[in-house]
Amino acid sequence: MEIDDPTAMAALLKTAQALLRSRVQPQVTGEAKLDAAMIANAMGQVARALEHPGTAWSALSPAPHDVGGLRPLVARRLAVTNPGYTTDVADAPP
Amino acid sequence: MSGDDASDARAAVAAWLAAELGRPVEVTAMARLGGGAIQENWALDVELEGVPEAWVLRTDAPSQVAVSWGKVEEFKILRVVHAAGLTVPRPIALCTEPSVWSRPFYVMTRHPGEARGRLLVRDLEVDRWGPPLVARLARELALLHRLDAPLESLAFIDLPDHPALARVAEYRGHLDELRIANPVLSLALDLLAARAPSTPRRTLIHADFRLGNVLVDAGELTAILDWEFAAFGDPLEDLGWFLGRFWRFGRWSAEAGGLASEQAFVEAYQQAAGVQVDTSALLYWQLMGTVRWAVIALQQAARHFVDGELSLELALTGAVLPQLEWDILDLVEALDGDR
Repeated sequence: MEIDDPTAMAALLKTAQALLRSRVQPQVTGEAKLDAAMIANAMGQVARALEHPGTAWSALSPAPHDVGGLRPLVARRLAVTNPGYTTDVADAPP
Repeated sequence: MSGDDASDARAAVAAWLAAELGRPVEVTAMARLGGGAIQENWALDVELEGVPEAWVLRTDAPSQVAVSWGKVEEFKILRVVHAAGLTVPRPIALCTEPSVWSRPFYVMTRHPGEARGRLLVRDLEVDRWGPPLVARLARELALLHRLDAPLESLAFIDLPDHPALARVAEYRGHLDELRIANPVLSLALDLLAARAPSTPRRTLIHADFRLGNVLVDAGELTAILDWEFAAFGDPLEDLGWFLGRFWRFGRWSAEAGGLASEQAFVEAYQQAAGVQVDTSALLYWQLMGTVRWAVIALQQAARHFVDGELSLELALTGAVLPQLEWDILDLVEALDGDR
């Protein structure tokens, strides 16, 4: 497996993310803790994007123009950036 | 700012304040306050004729956002809303002299409290103080919305003929500037244009009224902050923005700022304002607010990825777009089904 393989890159990022959360975050406080959480979050998002290629709108043509047609496309992108969001808000008012 | 620079700045600000107020002023401490990418706030510990005061010096950060007011305009807005009786910092003085500070700034009173929404909604006693605070915030908005346009002292603020259509045009313009064709935003903007409510009143609105811009101390409101986006518009724009799912900080079912129900918020507003809020119009402005935040997210991402203003915060703001698109689809369905 080459280092530029997306799967390898995703695994590397997830390892770094886990270390950041388990080793670094507990040792810092205040703004540094928030910064570390932000960095860990970013790493996770990039890792998921590498694992799920082709999630850009540009890869979908032509795009539907109604709610029913758009939902699956948005859900697929959400699975990369914020997995669990659709179930988290399922019962909440818009 | 280096130690020498900080010392010089304190002395310059103190001298200017003394001249401006006509009273002896000593700045005993000056410390940068955190938060805010487009504003720069400094806590000033001051002795005014020997009496300690807690003030804030507020100026623009070097990276300014074009749609926000400069400090001269913001000071005028703050004076108006303070005079109207809203719970805001008391504006003290405005300085436009580059010999004192490189950018215009103003000084206002400093208030205790927490502004960060994520921390506020996770407070162990939020169920106790959340609903009363939301009712208070609703009453503050009702007070603000008594300031009907036009206002002579705020003549620099545009007065749109039709606030809703003006916002649609504004957001379409931003997307054109970014050269972005987003089917979800396109769908939403078409609906917003078609269903634009007629607006019999145009008032002063905060235009960024949410957790994050209010200071809360032990569950009590101490100050409404950040008036740099204030505008003349439909008062429901403020309510719709506050009810946005993105401002609930994870407490999804507490529609009003992650603190209380929409019903409680709207009822308090109606009682204080003496008006009946049209629920369909309110849904409309919630959709408008979510579209606005999506456009901002795209702009922030562009600043990072296109303009090269490297910032993790900017990049991650762009990453919330799919979540906003999901919210937009929920609101489009709700509004379309609300005919």
